[in-house]
Amino acid sequence: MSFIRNIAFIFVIAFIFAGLTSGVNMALSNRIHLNEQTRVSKQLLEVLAIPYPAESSPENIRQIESRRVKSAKLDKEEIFAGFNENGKLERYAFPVSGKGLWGSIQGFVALDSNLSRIDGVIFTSHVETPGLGARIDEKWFRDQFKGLDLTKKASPEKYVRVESGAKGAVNRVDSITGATITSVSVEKMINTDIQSILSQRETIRGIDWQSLPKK
Amino acid sequence: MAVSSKKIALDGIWYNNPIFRQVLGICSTLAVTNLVTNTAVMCLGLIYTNAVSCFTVSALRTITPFRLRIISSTLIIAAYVIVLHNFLMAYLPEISAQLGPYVGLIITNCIVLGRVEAFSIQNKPIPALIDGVSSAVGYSMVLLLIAVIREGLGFGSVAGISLPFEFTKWTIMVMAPGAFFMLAIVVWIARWWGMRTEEAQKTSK
Repeated sequence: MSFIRNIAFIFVIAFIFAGLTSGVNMALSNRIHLNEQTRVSKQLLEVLAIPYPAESSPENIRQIESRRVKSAKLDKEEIFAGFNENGKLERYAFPVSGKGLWGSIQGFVALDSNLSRIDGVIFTSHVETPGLGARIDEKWFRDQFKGLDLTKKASPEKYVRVESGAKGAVNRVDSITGATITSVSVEKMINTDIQSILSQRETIRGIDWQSLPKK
Repeated sequence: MAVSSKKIALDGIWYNNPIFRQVLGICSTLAVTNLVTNTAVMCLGLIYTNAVSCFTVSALRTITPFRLRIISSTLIIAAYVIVLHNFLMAYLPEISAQLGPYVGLIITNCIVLGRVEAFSIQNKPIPALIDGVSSAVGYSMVLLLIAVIREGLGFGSVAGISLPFEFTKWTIMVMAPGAFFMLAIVVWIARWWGMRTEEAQKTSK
């Protein structure tokens, strides 16, 4: 008898509290989703070196984005173009993704308007180890990619090398001590995705941005 | 056995302070105390979780089967923490991102389960609520003290506002070891102070 009572008790408790959490979740999910979109938009603006005020509301960010960024579809991936105040195309950005140590890593890489130089790297989502792999978010690590020359190669099959040794070598970026797997993953995903973008160089140059609707 | 509300509150805040008397909940003490703002949000989160969890567990104590008390307490705590986590993501997204996994880890914060198991399960809802709030406040005081010192020495600011003078920043203070040092020093001073007053009381008797 007490066995049935116990089961019934847990059922009722679980039902009430699961109802509470899913109710709150449903009520707030739109807002959470908007915050998430704004966060990614801010990162896209940052990698395209488009300034935005530090205390911008989601609407402000949205406005700046629609004025300065356009997106186009390539074969598989999406590509973004960042325009300056006068409407001149300044940079391209494209999403990169790969497998990290604990889960997938996603981010953006920005290239200059000639598609020959890296202008910035940013990571939008990852679940790497805090204090180790998660340091890919830190500015010193990301800034190392800025200005790498894509007309040169770090090795026959790589544009960029992320490693601890070979200081001063071509297109080499310092890896993160204690986060070898994360560093290797970042190297792999950036190289693969740059390769794919550069192979579509002509298509990208041929995009008629003026005809595309605003983002 | 009716204990006065005042005694329950003082116990939680000082005489039986979760951090330097029971040494509970030090995981988050070590993790979030390098910035005062994050610490304050974490403390408010814990005060809320502890208060509502203690109250709910106590309200359900007469119908909770004895063998199922831990599982139902954990379920209740987890539900309240998920609610908190959703609110932070919706209204304070930046702080939520910085706190990362730590909000979720309030579920396993030793203070919450400790108070629920040690007090709420045997006491009426109102004393349980007072106990929950006061031990969380006791925890928050220590956390904020450590955070002010760590952020002050490590970043040269308090809650993001720069201190009015220049000095060499103690980088170690914002890293994990800084928390160990500060926690040890705070516990040491508090225990020394506590011991002194206890001895004074003994000799006066």
